[in-house]
Amino acid sequence: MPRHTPLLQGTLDVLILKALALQPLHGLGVSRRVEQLTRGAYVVKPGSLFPALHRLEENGWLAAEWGESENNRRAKYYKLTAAGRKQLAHETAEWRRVAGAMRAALEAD
Amino acid sequence: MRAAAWLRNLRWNLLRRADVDAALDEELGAYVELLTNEYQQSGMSAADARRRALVETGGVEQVKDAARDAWAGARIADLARELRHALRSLRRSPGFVATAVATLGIGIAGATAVFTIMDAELLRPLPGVSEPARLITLERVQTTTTLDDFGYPDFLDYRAQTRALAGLAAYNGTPMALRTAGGASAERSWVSYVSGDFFSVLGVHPALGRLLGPRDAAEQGSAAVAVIGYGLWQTRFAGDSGVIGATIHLNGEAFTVVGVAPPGFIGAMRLHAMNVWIPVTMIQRAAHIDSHDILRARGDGWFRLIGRLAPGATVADAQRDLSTIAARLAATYATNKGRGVRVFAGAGMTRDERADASRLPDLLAIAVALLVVIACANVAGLLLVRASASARERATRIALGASRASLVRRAVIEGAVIAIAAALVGAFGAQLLVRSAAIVGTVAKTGGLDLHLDGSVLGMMILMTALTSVLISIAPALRVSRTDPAALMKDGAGGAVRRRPMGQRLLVALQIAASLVLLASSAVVYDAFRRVLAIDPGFDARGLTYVYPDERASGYDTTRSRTFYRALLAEAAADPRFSAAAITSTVPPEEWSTRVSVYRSGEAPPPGALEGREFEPGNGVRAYVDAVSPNLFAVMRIPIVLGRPFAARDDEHAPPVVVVSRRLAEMLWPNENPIDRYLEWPVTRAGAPPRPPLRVVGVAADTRHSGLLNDPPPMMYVPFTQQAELGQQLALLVRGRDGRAPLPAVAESLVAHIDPQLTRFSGTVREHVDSGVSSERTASIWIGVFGIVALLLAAVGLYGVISQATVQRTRELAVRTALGATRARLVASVIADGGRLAAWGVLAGITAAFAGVGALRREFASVGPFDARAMALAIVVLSAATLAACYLPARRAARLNPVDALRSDT
Repeated sequence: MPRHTPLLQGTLDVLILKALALQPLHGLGVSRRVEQLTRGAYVVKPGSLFPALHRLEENGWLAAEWGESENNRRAKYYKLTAAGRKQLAHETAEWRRVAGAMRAALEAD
Repeated sequence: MRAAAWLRNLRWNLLRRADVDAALDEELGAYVELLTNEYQQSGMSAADARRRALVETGGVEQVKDAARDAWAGARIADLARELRHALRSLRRSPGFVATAVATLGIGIAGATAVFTIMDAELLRPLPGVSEPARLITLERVQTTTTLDDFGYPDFLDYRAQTRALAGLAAYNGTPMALRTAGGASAERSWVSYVSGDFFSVLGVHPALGRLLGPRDAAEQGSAAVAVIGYGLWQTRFAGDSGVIGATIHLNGEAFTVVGVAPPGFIGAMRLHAMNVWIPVTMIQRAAHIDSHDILRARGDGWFRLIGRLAPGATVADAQRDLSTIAARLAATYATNKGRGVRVFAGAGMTRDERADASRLPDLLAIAVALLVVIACANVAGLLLVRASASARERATRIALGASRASLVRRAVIEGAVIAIAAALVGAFGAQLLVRSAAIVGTVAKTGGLDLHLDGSVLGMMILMTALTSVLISIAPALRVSRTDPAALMKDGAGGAVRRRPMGQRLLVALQIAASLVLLASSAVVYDAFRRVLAIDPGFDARGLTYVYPDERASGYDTTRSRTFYRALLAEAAADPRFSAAAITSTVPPEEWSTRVSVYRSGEAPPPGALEGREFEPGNGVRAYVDAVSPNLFAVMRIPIVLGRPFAARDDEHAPPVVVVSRRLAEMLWPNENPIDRYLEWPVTRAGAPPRPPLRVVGVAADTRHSGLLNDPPPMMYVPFTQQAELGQQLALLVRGRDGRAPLPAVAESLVAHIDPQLTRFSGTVREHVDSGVSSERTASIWIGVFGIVALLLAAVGLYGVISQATVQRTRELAVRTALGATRARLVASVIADGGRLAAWGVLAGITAAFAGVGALRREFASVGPFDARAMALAIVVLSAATLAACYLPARRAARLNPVDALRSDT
């Protein structure tokens, strides 16, 4: 089992947006993609995954449609909307700024 | 648009909830299946893979709940769901709901009704006037005492000289016999006599025609015109606009209607709703006052004054301004020596009236506050018991993944549902109470008041409801959120050794204590009112009916009038329906009857010296005077304690005689025999023929002539045949042969038989006496009802709380039975437990009740000492309820087979 790092507040949303940047995914796909993107540091449980997906959909950043999964099951696929893409760019810039600031602060002597 | 999308989603989520839920189910199902697939591919068996996938997914319901929270309108949908749940769970316990709603409803209804009436009596400005905040009332200060009323010349001077007032008006009111077209029968109706600027000072506009103006009140006897009230217009004239120019009769005098006052306007005397307004210049004719010109009598007190502040002026400015004028008047006129003026804001009531009127509502408000405390304690207790009864259910729900917040929310929603239902019941009940109060007569004196529940009262009620809802929800909700599911599940409801929570025990004790305070207070207040009702007026009102024929209005002179009454007496005496008949000028008790100054012989001032100064202190003894027929004392059963009553020979040809009341005798001739002494009753009007001294022939027992609540005043009686120039309106009293009061119509028919043209009005003496204490009567009924309701509420509430708590100990009792305790011992121990609780409550209650009654006695002089009997009754009832609540369930529990009880869930 990989060691789990607690998610920072607001991290999950941006990770989901990032996970969907490449292609539409269903719930489990999003979960696996986040795991992969964070090199196993984050495992998203359904208890936080689905509320986050629904919240993002509600905000208009994701759109959902029903599609066929790899095992021929009907599954709900999420994809980024234009607004979602803009939000991802915005959040990415924000994260860079914060991360840069944090690194500068922590690495200074 | 984000907002538009959100709204669309909201609508979708709320309306198509089932679809959305199904989609969520499917989405989660797919997740689990995909996960299972993954594990299977990594080599697990199908069953293992599925199990692993389910474990990993966690509680499906929790995930769904969490996802739902993310939706637009999730809160609203949640609330609706919680509400449905709450309603469903409340439907399962109708008894509890009924008790809680009824209990709170009664509390809210009582409080709202009382505050509505209080509001109507005290807080609301005079209805129908514009800018009531700018109105002020003047009081006359005479040396040390404060009087309400002013002489007309003083009014004219104040009005002419004031700078701080935009207007000043004089007015007063009196009941008169009002007759409208069609029918000789009159009714007693309040008539206000007003100065010409009365309506303009109040800023009133007519509903029809015109109001009175300065020209109507230009000089004594001018303008027999009248404005009628809107209510009178509707009832007597069916709202017909042809009423303008119609004739009405007041005490037999004809008046022409010139206008109708706007709806709601009752005049400027809050306690008496006026039906008719006439110019001040007509009061003397309508009231048959022919002793002197009251508009010129500076020393008299005929008028109340009401003013409107000039723009920018304050009450203090008005006070300064009017005091300067008063000082100037005091320096100019002998009658005004030591006379000042006091100004206060507001209109409609004098300060005394205000204090009087607020006493009853104050008492009721205290009673209501306690009732609400009891009601809330009851409901909170019931909710607590309910909360502990369903502890296991909640434990299950928490274990299944319901969040604690949602449980608290549900408890609060349950409380809110009950409180809202109670508010509805309360609003309805309040309407009922207010209406019945108006009918029964608490507010009979304020008949013209608008007693609709108004916005502010309703607002207060809603606030109360909200408070109640929060109060009753807090305790159970807190308990819910502290519930530890594991412990409770192990324990089962009614765990073997669980102690009853301290909060519940405190609540029960508080309930008993609050009930005792309310009951003790109700009992003493009830007693105080009953004492007033039991007051002996000094005469026997039973079986008597009166009729006032207004023969003077039909132009009878003194001689004809005397003949008329003699004939009336003879007619009544010959009628087999009556056992006795008499004449009197006053049907007592009556505040408004004639008072005169009398002296010991030789001490009276010369004739005319009293003109305009009658009301000043130091002018002999002020005594009420009644003109009566010789047999009045026998008919009214007023004992003659010394000397003799009048005889038939004491007529207009015989020397004048008088019967004095014991009180008057003591004031004029203390410790002396008054019989055959002479009493002087000087005429007040200058130039009138002097009145010869009156010889005292008898002393009558005292009566409460001026009102049941007043001490018996000094009083004298004169034969109506001898003092005809007194000009009083006379009444015929008849006593029914069968002991019952004859019907008023029967008495009226006697008058009609002699002269069918005469106006008259009639009624039973009993009703007349009762009308003076109707508010006390109603109050005593209300307080009595409050007391009984409170006792019932307390008993029901106690029984509910304690018996539920006992039921919950079934398992504990079963265990103890299994361990060898006898039934008798078990029951005894439960009862001892309840008894201890009751004892603490009673102890606290008695202490608080003593303090409460003490406070009441300090506030209200008429309240008597602590009533041990009422207290004992309350204690017995409450203790009985407590013990029954312990005994019945305990006995049942003790009879159960312990094994069954332990297996069972409750």
